Amino acid sequence: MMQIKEQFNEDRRDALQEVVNIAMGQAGDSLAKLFSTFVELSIPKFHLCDVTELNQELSKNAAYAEKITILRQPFSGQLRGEGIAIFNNNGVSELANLMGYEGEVTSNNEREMLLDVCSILIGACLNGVTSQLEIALSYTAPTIISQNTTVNEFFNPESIQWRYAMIMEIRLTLEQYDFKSNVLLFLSEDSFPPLIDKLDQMLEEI
Amino acid sequence: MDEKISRLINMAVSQINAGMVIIDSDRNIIFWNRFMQIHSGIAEGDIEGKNLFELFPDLKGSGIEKKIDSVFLLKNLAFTSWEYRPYLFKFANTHSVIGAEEWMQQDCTFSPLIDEAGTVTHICLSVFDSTNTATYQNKLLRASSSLIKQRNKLATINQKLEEAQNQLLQSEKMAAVGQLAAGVAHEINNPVGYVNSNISTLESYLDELMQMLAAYEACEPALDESSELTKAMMLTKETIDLDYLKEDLVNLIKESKEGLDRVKKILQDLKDFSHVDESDWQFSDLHKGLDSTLNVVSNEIKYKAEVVKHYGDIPEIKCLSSQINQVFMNLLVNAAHAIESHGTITITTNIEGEGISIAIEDTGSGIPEDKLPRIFEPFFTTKPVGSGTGLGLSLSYNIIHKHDGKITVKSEPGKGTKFQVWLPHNPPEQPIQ
Repeated sequence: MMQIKEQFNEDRRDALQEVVNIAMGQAGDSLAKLFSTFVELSIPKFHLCDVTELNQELSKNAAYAEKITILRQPFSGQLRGEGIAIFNNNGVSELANLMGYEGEVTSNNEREMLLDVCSILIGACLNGVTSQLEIALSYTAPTIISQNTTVNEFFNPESIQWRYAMIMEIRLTLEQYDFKSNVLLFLSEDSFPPLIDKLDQMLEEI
Repeated sequence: MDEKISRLINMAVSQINAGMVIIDSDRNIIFWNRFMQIHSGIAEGDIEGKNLFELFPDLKGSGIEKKIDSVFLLKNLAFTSWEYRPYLFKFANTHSVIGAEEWMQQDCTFSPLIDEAGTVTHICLSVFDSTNTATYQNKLLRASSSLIKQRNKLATINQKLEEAQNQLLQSEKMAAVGQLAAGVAHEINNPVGYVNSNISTLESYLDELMQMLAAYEACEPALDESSELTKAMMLTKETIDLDYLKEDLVNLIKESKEGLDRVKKILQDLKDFSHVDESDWQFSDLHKGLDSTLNVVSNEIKYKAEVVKHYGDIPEIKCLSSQINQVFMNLLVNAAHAIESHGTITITTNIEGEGISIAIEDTGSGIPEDKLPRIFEPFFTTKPVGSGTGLGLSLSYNIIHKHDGKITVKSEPGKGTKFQVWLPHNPPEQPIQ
């Protein structure tokens, strides 16, 4: 753990933050166009943490205290990991209408819509980063892993295979719709060396 | 690219066992591979340049437009899964002979096709046949939901069994207590019998002794007062206070006889209450049962409440009287426990319809409205831990139920509770537990 923390020195962390900020700017623009409404994206926060601390780390966020729906989308390639999207259950049917589901919104429509939004958010976050760092990624279809659960119930250390994870936390708010979502990007331990390489290349080019 | 490889790729796209559709930015279809042609029955020539949503109007308003928008805008992938949307294109089931799904179940992916400038110009839509997976998955779902149903059913049965077992246990306990009481009563009966008979004899002897004493006393005036013997006798008479002794002896015998009568009464009540000798369905007098029960529990009641009886003119009814007495006992003890300092317990009996109604009413603390529906449940108790099993009323309910009768309750917190039992005159006999 200490070793990994040392590898992510301040320069590299700043560089990654910069890349992510640019990516989020682009994503926010595109999302606003897609939803035709104002989209508020938080500045991403990084945590580098041991899986056993994950629960504690996540529990600090009050948004995760309520009942939530959790979706995930795995990605692989030069970076490997999973994107986890957490939705509070507010404003879901309004959002479904916004996403082009007309008439009565069935629970299946709602689920597909949440999967759409999960894929869009994770794609938007990662595409911006990968295009800047010239990393190739492929995505697997997202799935709903848990409905009406809490963070504590879900992220127990036994169910997570990685010892360390880099978590990037982004909050999305659609103000008009009372809809809130948090996206966590988990990078596996073996993704750290290639990511560090790419960041170093970028730092050299500056 | 090598022309040969390019030809091979074209062939592969055509032959691949999945649907492939290419859509331009106007949502017009510009390519449609062999899989799509075969399953839709629409030749490639017939779709070229046609709008996806005009060709498949069902796709409109179902979120597909936004999926495509998002791919063009964000360069991400979009998906549909058969689980939430069984199919994008309504194709006949590939498993047409043995299969449960009517239409081909599809997993679809929308991927962006990006030009050198980084703009998404087209979208490649791939369609995968997931019918087989879906069939198995749905079968599994049905199987697991029927398993869950059965498990829940079993759990309910288990719970009922447990309740029945506990009631049986309680009922057996009561029967054992009854038997013990009857045994003790029987054992005490003998010594009480000869004490009683001895006291009667003693009484008649005493009577005779008194007569004798009276005769001696009649001789007293004839005695020589100066004689030493006479002086000694008069001194003794004074010392033992003969007059008081004569009076008290009679009282002592009378009180002892009364005490013995009470012991005999209690023994009879214990026998009546436990009815070890008559555990069959028999016509019996409920007033007798009520009275003997009142005597058995008099210790619980006498310092708490005054018992007021409004006994009506009721016929004997067919019942298991020992069990009915258990019900009376439960109701009377509960009534006494509900009274905090001092109150009244009123027992009223009447003919009602084809049976008899017995009401036991107390002026106790009453039962809160929210607890009222639960009082007949096994293990439900409002008494402090250790003082109530929570089985008394549940057992009573079952006993009355077995007699084809009814037990109802009305209660007003702070004012009191009224239990009303109705028993039919001649119910069909049910096996004795």
